[in-house]
Amino acid sequence: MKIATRKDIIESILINAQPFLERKDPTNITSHIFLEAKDGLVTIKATDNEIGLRVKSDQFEIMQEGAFTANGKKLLDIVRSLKADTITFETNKDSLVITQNSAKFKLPTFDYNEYPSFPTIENKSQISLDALTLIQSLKKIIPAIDTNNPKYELNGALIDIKEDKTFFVGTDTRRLAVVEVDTATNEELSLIIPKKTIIEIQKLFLDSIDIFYDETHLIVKNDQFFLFSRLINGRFPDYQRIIPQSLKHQLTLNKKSLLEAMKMISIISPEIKITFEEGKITLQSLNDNNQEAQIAIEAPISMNEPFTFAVNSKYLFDFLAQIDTEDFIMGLNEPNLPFLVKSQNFLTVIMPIIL
Amino acid sequence: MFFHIDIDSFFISAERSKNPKLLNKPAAVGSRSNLEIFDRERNKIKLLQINSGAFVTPVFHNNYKKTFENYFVDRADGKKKIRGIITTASYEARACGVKTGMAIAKALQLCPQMVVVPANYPLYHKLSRMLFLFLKKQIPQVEQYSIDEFFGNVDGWIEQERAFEVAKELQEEIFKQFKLPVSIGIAKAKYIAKLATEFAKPFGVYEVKNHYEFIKDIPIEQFPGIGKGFSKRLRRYGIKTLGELCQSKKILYAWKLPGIELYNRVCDENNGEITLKSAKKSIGLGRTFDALYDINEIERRVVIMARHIAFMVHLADVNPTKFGIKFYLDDGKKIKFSIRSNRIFSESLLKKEFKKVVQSHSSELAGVMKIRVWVSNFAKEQTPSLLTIEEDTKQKKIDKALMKLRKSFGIDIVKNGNEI
Repeated sequence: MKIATRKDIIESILINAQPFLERKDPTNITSHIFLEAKDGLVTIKATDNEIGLRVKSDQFEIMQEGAFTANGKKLLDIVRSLKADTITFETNKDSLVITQNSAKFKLPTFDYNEYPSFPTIENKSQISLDALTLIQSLKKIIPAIDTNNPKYELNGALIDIKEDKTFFVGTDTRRLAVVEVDTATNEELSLIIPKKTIIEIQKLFLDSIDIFYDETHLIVKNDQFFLFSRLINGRFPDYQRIIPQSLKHQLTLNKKSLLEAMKMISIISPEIKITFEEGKITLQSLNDNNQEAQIAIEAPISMNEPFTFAVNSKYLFDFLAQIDTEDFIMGLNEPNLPFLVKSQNFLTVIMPIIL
Repeated sequence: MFFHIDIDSFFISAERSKNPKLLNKPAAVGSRSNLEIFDRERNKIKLLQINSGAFVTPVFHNNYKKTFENYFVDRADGKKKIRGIITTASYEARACGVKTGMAIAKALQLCPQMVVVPANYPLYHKLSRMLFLFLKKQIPQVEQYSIDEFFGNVDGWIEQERAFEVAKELQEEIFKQFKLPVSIGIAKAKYIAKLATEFAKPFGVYEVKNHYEFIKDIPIEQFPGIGKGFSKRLRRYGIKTLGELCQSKKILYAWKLPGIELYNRVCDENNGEITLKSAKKSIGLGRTFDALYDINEIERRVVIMARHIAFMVHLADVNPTKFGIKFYLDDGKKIKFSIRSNRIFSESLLKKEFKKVVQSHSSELAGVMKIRVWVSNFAKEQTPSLLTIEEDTKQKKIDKALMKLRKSFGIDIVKNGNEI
């Protein structure tokens, strides 16, 4: 096999492929990328069996058809080190030879017939969600999704498709983020998609995508990319039960002024104490390290008596970073019970710090 | 300059302070196992709260009057059998060979004229607390180290030359006010003062003038804090005395924190400071009994111990996030479990977690003769889980109501079905 292409083309494909590769064990074929040149097209695959990516490109000059595997990380390092010019890839027995002008690299290859096969869209159902809505909704809940939770289902986002609505849900047990969109479907369905998969989907796809699924796998594809991921098999917490059904206090707050105040307090401590009283909000640092911060901002609030609670500001920052309205709603019950923040179709339930 | 003040044979001295008839003759305090918490009948068990220093073990008690006959003597088939062990023996009793931990029946064979009185822990805790308050008035910095030991730092308060004299006066004053004999060790280093007390006993004062001369020939095992494991390790390097230990700085420093700490405690002439207020870092409880093979009975006892721990946790108003349980088996094996929890603490949560441990390891738990349970890692300003907050808030309310009842009517006023 012998192919050639410009540095930037192969480099960008290899960068996209990195997160899909096995990193720890270089003797495993899944640490390699798979490349095949056939019928004028080059197909590159990367997978660690949990999640996989296939990229098709017609930007290669194919001098001789064929296929190879090579260590994906090494290959990227080599390509990066070369000049912005044409690079040639040629197989020679069990090796791959990479050349550019007088520079020459040789990498070992594995038998490309052993490369793991990808699931196909055959016998899989298609999700009838608007791609843009899906991508935007998932983006909002990413920060709330847990990582490395021993309960696997919490390391993913729930897509809960109901008859006339679809809910996107993520939680790290301290907060729960929910996006609600109106959809119409005749098939109710819930899937739990790993956080890593969502992050890669965000990187690769903009719009016009097709999504397929079965019990075990999710496939997202367009003309250029084909991404598959294992789904998380588990029972997602009953999120509807966590959302407070009634609220004692419902306040409309200004995003900008609260954000500014929170940024100041969080210099001293990420944990902040917030007091709402008639006409004003007071923010204080929660820190016993002999450091203190306090600020009061005016706000059109009507409260019979002051309401004080404490919270990790990160949860509020994450929420505020995802909304694009000037105001948002905060719903409170008791200082030690979960509260709610909401803007349009996006809400987050946050557990306060118990003082 | 540190004083280490240690009450001589505390429990029996405490009894003598109330009952002069016990003076100047072989006498001892005895106790039977403190297993009444496992009784199926209601005992009105309360927790003694007068003295809850960091190193003082909790005492659960009820108010029935104990005598030798009703406490130590079991009657079966018309025969009398003396039960229980010696907790503390007077020096006169020790002279006949009576030792702590000896069966009372055997001790009485060695020393037939000895008087044995049932242990009265509430009295000991009360006296210990009173002595602590007295010492705080006499010495600027005092630390209660255990129920019968105190450290005082006298730097800048008395001149070094007068230390011995002042200690003598203190000893006399304590005897006058409390009728309790104490021994006092004096040294520049804290734990050397404790070591010196061993040379002062009984009812003496010993001052270490030359640190190195004093320690150099003392066997390592005598130093407080060198246990079986550590002394074995030291002996492997040929270290048998504290003098040899001080010549092995490199070896001890290679053992990281415990080694460095030990080296400094023994060899640094000016080591140590008074721990004025040591906040409790854990709450624990242990009980020893005849080996158990019935898994249901083991679980029942674990659940009862959890109830007592929960009571202490709520009294201390803390939120532990780590639970531990250790089983000691009759074949010498020990099995330890620790559980991390991010929940709001409740009695039912602790019981549930411990029950899970017992049930999932039921095959290993044969011949359990001791159980220790404890909770630690108290969380301040915790953000609990949204997923369990509803349940946890409910349990907290229940615990609050239970606490009220337990405080007024005893810890055993409400039990779970499986505790009976």
